[in-house]
Amino acid sequence: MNPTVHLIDDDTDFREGLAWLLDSRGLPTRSWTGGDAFLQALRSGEVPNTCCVLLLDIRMEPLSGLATFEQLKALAWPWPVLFLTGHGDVSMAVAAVKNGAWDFLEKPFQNNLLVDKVEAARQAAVTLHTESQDRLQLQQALAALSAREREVLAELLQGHYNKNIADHLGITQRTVEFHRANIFEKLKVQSAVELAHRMGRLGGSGSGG
Amino acid sequence: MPTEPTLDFHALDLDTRQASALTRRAVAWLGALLLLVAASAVAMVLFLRSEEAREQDRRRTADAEWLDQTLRFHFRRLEGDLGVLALQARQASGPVSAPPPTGPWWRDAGLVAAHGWLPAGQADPELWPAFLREAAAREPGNAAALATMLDTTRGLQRAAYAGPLAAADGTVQQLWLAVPLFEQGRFVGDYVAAVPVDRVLAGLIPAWFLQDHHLVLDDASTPQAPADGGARFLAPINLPGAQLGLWVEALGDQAPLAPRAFFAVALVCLAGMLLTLVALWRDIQRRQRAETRLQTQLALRTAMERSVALGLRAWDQAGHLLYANPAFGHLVGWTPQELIAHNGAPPYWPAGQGDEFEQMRSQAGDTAAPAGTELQLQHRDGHRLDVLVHSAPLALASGEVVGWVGSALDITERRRVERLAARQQELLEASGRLVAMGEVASTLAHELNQPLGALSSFANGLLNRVREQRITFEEIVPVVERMERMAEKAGRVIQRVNAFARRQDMTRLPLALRPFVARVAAGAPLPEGVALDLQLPPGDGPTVPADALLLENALHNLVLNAGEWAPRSGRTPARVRVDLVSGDGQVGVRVADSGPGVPPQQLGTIFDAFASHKPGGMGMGLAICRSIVEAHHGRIEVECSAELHGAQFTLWLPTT
Repeated sequence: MNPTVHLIDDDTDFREGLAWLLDSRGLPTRSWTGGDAFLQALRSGEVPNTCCVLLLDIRMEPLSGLATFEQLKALAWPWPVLFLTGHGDVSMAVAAVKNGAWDFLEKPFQNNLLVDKVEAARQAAVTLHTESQDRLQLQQALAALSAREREVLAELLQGHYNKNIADHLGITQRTVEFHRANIFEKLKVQSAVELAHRMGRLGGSGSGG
Repeated sequence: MPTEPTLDFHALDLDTRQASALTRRAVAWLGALLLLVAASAVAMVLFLRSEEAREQDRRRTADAEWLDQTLRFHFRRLEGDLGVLALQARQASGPVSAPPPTGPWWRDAGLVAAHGWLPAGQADPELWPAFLREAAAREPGNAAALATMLDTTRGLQRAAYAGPLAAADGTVQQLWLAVPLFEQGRFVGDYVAAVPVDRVLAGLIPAWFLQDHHLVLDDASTPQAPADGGARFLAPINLPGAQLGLWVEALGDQAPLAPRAFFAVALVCLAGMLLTLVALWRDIQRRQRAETRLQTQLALRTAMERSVALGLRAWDQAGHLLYANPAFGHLVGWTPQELIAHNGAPPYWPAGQGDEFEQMRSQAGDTAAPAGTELQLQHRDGHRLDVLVHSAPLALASGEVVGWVGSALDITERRRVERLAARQQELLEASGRLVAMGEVASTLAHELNQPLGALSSFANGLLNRVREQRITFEEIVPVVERMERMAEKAGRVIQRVNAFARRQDMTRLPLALRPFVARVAAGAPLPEGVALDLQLPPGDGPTVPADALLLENALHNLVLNAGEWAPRSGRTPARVRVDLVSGDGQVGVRVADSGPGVPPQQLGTIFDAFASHKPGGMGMGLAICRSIVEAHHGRIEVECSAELHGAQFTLWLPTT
């Protein structure tokens, strides 16, 4: 997994210098002259909505960094966005972070610190990507469960023993154990504890959206 | 000195009550005089009437006497004539045969109705001649009267009269006359004649008397009152034996005309006087009313004049101060009396402002300046006052200008407030510029961030690659070149900051403008296709005290700016022209371009920081230019170039 770094800045020198720096650290980059150019490419599908990191200059013409960010949010953009700010724009950047941006970098910045932060964002992007993959798998597995297995799973998550589950559902203890083994296999877990953990981490957010 | 009528302003202060009292007294005197005149007129009328009556009496007496004498004179002559006739009759011893004597009595045939000789022997009425007997027979008393007459002549030996006796027809009254004749003392006879009275009166009384008078015989038939109601009187005629009286009636107005005429003239004069008096009285009434109104007006005006804080003055034609109101006195610290009594230049007039009167008069005639003139006055204690003066000619109703009136409004306080406001405004602008400077700093920081950030990025990227030996020498060169360009860009920003910061400790040294402008203008890089048009005078040109570095920055900026704009209008050839203009105590460095010019709505803000109208411009260039020029006590001016039709900036620098 090697997420691309999208550089959006209207200053050619700055943009190219940054690209040159990130490239020297082995980070794949792609430069854009403005927010509107990037958004257009995104809408047309030229840039796939895959795991990546955005470096966005706040002060740009005609579409400012903040306006670009608002439009991205409207498109439910999940990937980390880092703002590049100059002197006097910090308050704007802070507001942007509260509004869901990943972080901001104040110019002039130490280049290695910048690269580190970009790296961190990339990791986060990768994590996000992985999590979303896991969630997808879990949801597919849950969808594969039979109706009786789902009833057993709900009882299990409430912490009931097999005997009690059998009583509640009006089936034999043996049948419960059979269902339970099936559930564990389908959800790729080894124990009830792992099942609860996995369901708690992904299932809640998965169903909650 | 001209002797124009000067205005008596003190007349306005006259006590009008005293004046009306005077008028009343005069009218009382006049009334008394009128009464006196009327009384004397009445007295005169009375006197005239009594005088006329006396005069009439006197004339009547005179008339009566004159009538008496005239008639007696005539009758005496008749007596004489009859005497002659008697002699002739005695000698002829018969009735009248000789021709009658001449004279008034005989000229007219009817004057002596009958006459005849009566000898002494025929004294008895039986023997009388016929005409005598006829007369005696006519009335019962006639015979006796005639006999008495005849007896009287005989006895008294003189002529005697009888009558008047009625004539034959009963209406004609006749006067009988007998003249005796004596011969040697012995009576020989009478000559008797009958004279009709009315004929005598008509024939013997002169016509001039009869014109004015009507004579009537006094007898029983005479009416007691005259027919025409006029006055009449009885004039007795003294003839011995005759009872003759004549009523004289004055015909027409006999009163003397002259006194009456005089009186009438006097009356007319009196009436005229009365009319005049009435007219005078009414005029006085009118004047008094007008005076009362005037008094009210005057009181109002005075109160107004006292209430205003506006200084008022009035001059006569020659420029002498006639009047100053208390407000003006208060304004300059002198009392109005002192000012009016002052001779020569007014004490409140500070030297060096020209002649006050002339200025005032020229301003009054100048209708184009209704806003007044701002001047300075000097208070008595020495401090100066700012005043706004207005003036106007003092013209009479006829349009004749007899003087001038000027007002002075104290605007010292207003000026002070204005100065204060201007100072505040300056402070505000200065602080505004400080704020702008803060923003400038912020903008410059941002401007520096960009190239420095990029530079750092390039350097780090290069370093990373060099360390890992992932880069060839050929790849290094363009990167370093690019870094060098970026460092230059950053350096230019720093230069601008410097130009701004150095304003604090600038040093102004004499700078010859021509070589300086030539060097700076030629040194500014212009885009391709833009021609520089340097129009400078020969030699060093004017010299100004200036900080060469700062001024270079400003001029450089202007030329760069002009070069950028020059091609944008599409007019060819694109040109930038730089020349020098000189003004009043200042020199202008003028930079014009052939660009589109400055839109009018931007003229006010073009020098403000961040007001750039250039794509990618920071809006600092012109603001810095203005700061620099203002630091040199000059100013920057923008207008439309007359020749190149683009913008034209002029840096005005004081020569001292």
